[in-house]
Amino acid sequence: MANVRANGVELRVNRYRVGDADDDRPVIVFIHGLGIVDHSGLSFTLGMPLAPVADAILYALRGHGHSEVTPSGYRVVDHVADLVALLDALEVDVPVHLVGCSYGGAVAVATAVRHPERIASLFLLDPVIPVPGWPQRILPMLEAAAAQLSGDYTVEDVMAALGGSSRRKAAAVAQRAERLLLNTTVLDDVRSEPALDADDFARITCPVQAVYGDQSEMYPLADSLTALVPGAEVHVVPGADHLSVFGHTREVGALIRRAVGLPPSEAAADLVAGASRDA
Amino acid sequence: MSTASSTRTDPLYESVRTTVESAIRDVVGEWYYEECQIGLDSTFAEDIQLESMEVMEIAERLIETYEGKVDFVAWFAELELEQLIDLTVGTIVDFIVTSLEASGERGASAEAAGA
Repeated sequence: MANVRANGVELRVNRYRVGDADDDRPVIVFIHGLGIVDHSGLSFTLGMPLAPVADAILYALRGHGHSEVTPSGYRVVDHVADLVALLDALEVDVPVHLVGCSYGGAVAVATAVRHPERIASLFLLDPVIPVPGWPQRILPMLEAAAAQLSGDYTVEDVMAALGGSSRRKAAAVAQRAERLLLNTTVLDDVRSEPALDADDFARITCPVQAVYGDQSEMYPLADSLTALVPGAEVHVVPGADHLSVFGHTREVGALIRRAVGLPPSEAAADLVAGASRDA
Repeated sequence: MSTASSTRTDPLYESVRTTVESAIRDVVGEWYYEECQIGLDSTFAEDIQLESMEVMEIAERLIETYEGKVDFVAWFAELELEQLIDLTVGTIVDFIVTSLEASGERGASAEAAGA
């Protein structure tokens, strides 16, 4: 755990490497989604399991978790600048594998477009793809939450919205959501996001894989991805919605290992084949 | 998923238990800790209702405390998602005790605990 100053912003970073130093191990950087989450869940489910064989770097985007909540700077290009500065601050000078989750997928794609020399591969988990109209994939949820938080709401409302959480947890979630949605420019920044065009996507030269749940609101973007990035490989999790995709940690972990050129773990060897058949 | 060979009254176990409980108290606050009646069988997800970032905070405190003696990352790396969800206070205590015993720290820790 460490706070690293990158692009003028304090970012909370966790880096996992277990065992002897091995300069050849792949560097894998995880980018989480937008909202009340940070990188903690990904650290436990995907980052730490890769620690014995990879250099896994996870961080909280600005405005999230224990990273600094800046009043502005919440466009995808800002997150790209943060990420590249973070890699520089960590003295990572080899191309990295990016795992972009949900909104983090858009950040990963944009990073590969703007800095193709820094990226070895993209692995996208139920991702937002920055094609025309993409902000509408996430804005309704963010705006609804902001409207509720700026009106008369009770902690009981939040407890119910979270499926019956404790009062303490609901209050903490509401406080974090208020901090980001009401006290920063994040909503305006998302509303005004430009889309990338075909020429932009043509700058992606690294291998690209994505996993989508076929019940996810993001799933229609899979067609955009394969149309704009020839050779992109899409895996589909039948019956999974946007949130439940992230519960398929063994399958996703096995696919990530394969995507970055690592041999499958013994326990997950069969899962790689199984997941591939779903593509 | 108890793995510790120590009894639950020996000084090493009590020392670790106190350290783990203290880390949880620091993160959730004294009032909530008491309200939840947190014990060894309490699960982090369901009973204590911790968010993943809070579990991370607790883990980091313990990693710092037992640096070089307990390999939390390797342990977490081996846990399945269901095991993470079902993780209890006692499971963490057991793992730390087992690790310390394996690294030959029993005597030192017991001494530190005032044994």
